[in-house]
Amino acid sequence: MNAIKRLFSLFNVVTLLLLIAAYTAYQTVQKPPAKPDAPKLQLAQQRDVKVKVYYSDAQVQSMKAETRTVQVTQENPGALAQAALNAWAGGPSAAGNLAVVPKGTAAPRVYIRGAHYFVDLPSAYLNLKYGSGGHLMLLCTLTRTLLETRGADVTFLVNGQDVETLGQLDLREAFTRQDCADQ
Amino acid sequence: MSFSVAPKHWRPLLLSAALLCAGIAGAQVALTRLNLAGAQVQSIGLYGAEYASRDVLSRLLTINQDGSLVRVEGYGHTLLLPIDEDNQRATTAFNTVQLDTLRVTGRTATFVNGTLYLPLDTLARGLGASYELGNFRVAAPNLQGVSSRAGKDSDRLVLDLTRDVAFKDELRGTTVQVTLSGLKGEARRYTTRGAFVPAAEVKAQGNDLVLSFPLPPGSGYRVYRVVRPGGARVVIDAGPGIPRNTVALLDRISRPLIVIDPARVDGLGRDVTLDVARRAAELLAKAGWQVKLTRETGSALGLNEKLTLARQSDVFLALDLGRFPGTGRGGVTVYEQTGRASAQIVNTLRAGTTPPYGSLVVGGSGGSRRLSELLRGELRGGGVTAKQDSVSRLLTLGEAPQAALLLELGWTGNAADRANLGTEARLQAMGVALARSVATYLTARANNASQLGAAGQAAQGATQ
Repeated sequence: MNAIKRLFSLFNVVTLLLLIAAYTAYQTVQKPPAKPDAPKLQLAQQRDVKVKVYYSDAQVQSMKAETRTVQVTQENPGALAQAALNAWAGGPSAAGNLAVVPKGTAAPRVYIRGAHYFVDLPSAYLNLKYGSGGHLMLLCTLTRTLLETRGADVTFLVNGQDVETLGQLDLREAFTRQDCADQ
Repeated sequence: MSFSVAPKHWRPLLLSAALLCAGIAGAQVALTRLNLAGAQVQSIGLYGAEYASRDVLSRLLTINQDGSLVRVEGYGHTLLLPIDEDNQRATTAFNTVQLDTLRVTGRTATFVNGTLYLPLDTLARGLGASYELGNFRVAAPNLQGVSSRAGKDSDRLVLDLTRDVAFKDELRGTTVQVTLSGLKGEARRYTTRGAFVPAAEVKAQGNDLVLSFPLPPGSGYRVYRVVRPGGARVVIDAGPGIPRNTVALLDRISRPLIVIDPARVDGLGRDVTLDVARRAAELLAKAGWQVKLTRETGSALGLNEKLTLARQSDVFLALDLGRFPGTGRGGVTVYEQTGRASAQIVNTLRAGTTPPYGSLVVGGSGGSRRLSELLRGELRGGGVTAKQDSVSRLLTLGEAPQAALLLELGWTGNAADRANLGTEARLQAMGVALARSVATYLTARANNASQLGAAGQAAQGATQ
């Protein structure tokens, strides 16, 4: 009887409880975390936005604006500008207007820093072999398209690099609305 | 009872008058009339010599008093007369006066009643005028003759004048013009034996006489006067032996640079732009103009070299062909650059007030407009109808400080243009139109640009 009493002494009982608690805690922390559920894939919703895109007239003398509907997922200036340039490279839809670059030519990339646009022309644009008027039409339709709603000027790069000229045209300074005003 | 001739209060006045009369009589002063170069004026007789006051003589001469000396300038002469306050001594020949570089004895200046008077005979002697009592005559300015002398490295023209006159010399383009104010003479052409100034022409222009002659390239000229008793000479030396004293900017007038920049356009079979550029350049070079092309068949200048030429140019002509996919446009177009120029100096000078010679550094946009009109007119004369348009941001045109145009000779996508550009007659017509319009423009610009030469400033000293 004394032996049983001695076995279940207060010390032994407390120690046993602590041992059980430690074991339980150990088992708990050793469990792998539960796998989180994968987020459900949701397609970004594309919205239709109207932008004004400039092309050449048939005589390569003046710029003709077309209002085109483009789809963007985010309606921020960068996305709108890029969408407008994609439409520009794709060519006009109205009869009588001329595409400024041959069909299939890649659209330039556009970046925005504050009020300034930076347009990176693909190197294929160096091989277009336009006359001076043609090159001016190319750069001015881009400039007018981008500055239609916002921005101060457009700086042109070719293949990510600063270049001095495109054909005979001076690319050393940014193009402004004034450079491309209607005559 | 008293007998008085005048009231009592008149006595001091009469006494003063009597004293003044006595003084005048004592000074031997008599009022006389003088014909001074055609004008009736008052003079005085002083101890038998005739004197005129400074105010009277100032109509003809520049008279300045410097301490006890009077400096008289006129008709190319300078006289120095000492002032002797002793009237009687001033009228004697014991005074030394300086007539130009000569010191002689003669009557000199004096004060009479506080007014400066100068002796007419001494003045006439020093100025080369003729004088007799009551009559002071200055010879009418006439050109008596033109003589020449041929030298080893310069030629000399000598104009003999009855008296000195003011002149100014100008370099107008390649022509030296010497304008002699108020001079009369026969208008005629003179030929010389000189190698540098083979001929000179004298023409009347209003009240003046103008002598002009062409200045050979690389030559300088100088004009100066030689004043002698009884006449004057204007001497002109010109030739490579005379240092050029004109500002270097004037070379833009006398030796303008024409730059033609033909764009390279492949795929037409022949190099049309270069062909037209060469034809125009050949015609201009034959006429003595300085022409440079930016490209030849096998070589072309780099962008920096091309821009350097554009910046030095007086006329910059870019030749191009219109190219654009899908267009049926055709025809010849002359483009003028609009908007800001890429060169800062061009913008600054065109926007601000023009400093001296500023138009030779940067011409206004009117030059391009004038050249464009001339070019379209010449093209029309050659049977080529050209449209006028504007363009912006062309680098070479933006760097050119003077007249600059882009001439589009036609469009490669247009069948009629391609056919036209294949004919000799069309290319020749465009080359001739280019050359003629540039030559006409530069000649007119040279004629309009009137720059005073350094020697002309010397003429400012002359009073007549």
